[in-house]
Amino acid sequence: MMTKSRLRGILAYVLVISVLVIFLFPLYWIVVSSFKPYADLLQGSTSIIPWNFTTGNYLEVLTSSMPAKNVVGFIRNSLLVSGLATIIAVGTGILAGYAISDFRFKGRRFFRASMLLVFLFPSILIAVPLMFQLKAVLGWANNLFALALIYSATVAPISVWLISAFFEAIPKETRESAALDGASKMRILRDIIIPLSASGIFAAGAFSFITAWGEYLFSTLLITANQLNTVPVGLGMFLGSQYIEWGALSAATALTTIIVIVIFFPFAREFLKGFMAKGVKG
Amino acid sequence: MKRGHLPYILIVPVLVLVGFIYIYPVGRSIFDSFNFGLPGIGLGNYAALFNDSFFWISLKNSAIWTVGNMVVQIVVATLIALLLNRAFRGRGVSQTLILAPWIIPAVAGAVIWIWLLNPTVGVINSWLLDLGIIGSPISFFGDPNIAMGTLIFINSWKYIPIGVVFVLAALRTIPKHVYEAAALDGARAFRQFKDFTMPLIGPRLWFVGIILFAWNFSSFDLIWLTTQGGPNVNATLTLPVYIYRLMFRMFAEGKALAAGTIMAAIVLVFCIFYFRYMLKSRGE
Repeated sequence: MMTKSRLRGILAYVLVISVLVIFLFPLYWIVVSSFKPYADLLQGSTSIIPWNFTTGNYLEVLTSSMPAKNVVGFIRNSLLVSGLATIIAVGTGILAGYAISDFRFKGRRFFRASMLLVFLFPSILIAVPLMFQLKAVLGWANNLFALALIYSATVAPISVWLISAFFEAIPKETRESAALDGASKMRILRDIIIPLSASGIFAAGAFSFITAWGEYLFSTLLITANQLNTVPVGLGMFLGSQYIEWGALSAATALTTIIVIVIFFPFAREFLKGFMAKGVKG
Repeated sequence: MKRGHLPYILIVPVLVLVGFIYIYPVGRSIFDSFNFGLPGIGLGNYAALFNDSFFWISLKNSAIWTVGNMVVQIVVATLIALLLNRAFRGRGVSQTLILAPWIIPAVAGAVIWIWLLNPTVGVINSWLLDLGIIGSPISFFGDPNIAMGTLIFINSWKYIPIGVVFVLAALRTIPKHVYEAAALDGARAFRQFKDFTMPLIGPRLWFVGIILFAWNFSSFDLIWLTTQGGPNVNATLTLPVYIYRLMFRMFAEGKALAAGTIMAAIVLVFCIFYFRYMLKSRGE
């Protein structure tokens, strides 16, 4: 006879699996669709297995000579921009996070609070003046480095916030004993604080990367040359055309989805550990 | 270099970055909202804005959109987090897998759901028709009565996963012995949640709340790429979409700057409330 707790265990599994199916089915469906021939897509095929398997949709977007369909180019541009933004955000985050965690200076609490405020600020509000400033004054249109700089500013504040919480969690005694040995403040940061906060720094980095990877508004405003399109703008352009080419679009979406998941999943454990270890502190 | 200068030097890089990309542009646009296209300094842009019925519609839609999203996301994320916080084999994998909708760009989410919900070739409509639940295909994005709900659903699908991680992080801070004590008392699941879990994670849920508020209030890409604020021109017109239309479609800069200033004020008010609450709950 089944015990009550065993029954509850099974029920929990059923619930977990249902939740996962609901959240992951849409991703599964775009991947399945991308392997169906165009004729099947137009007929609204509902089969959950691509019986008429084809890689034609992928060939179309991988070999297209049109910049607007060049998915490899989108991915390259996005990797460059998001990677650069992440490095800048984590670097500035480590320095400022250390200032918050290890120093008592005037304006410290205000600085910390203002970082959260900047992170919470809607990007549409800076889009209007920033585009004027960058395009008209500095001539930065179609410049991926300018885009990376904007992204780093949008994610650096949250990286400061997350990283400082991790630095603060390191016990006082650890740094005091190092200070007694005569280590300078910057050496303590490099040799003790950073190695002990690896998962927190990973969490901040992954968070920054994903936010930058998905950003659409600044990218669509700043970049007008198709060969510089990022992934979100590239996908968005398919949707904007009169007639949506679902074959190519499903392949492009599936490909870029799989790539970001493949990039993220090796870090997923560290990311979750980073968030959970300390808890997200208010 | 004097010792006391070091913290200030450490925060210079992030301040330069944020000053150039955020603080100066925002300050500049607030200033400009009072004099752009006007003779001297005045409230003309605000007068024009308040006379535009679309502004009031977008304000109302933004309220519905933000509250609707937050309620769905916080409630569902908390339920899923409680489920995934139990000890079971495959817990780590489940916590990772569920993050997938949050990892992919909002634009990719928009593409995927436009495809799923398409009235003629979308799989959801086909299945609902086959099961006899509906008699004719539903136009999820085209029906003004449904579009807002559809978008809240899709947006929540994207943000619930990261909400789950935030709530799980909060649940982790509860010491195990609290639950053991509760179990000894014979507290049932709901009472345990109400009497032990909620009070302990409450302050951290406020943090989740303020982040979700900001994300939902400012979300733009999903709405722009699916309905552009329509159907019926304004059924899903929220403030960010309205500002974008004013600025980049109608070139009404003055009104766009005024609407932006009002949006900034709304965010600021909520943040001040949050910080005051936070300081109070910490007893500072």
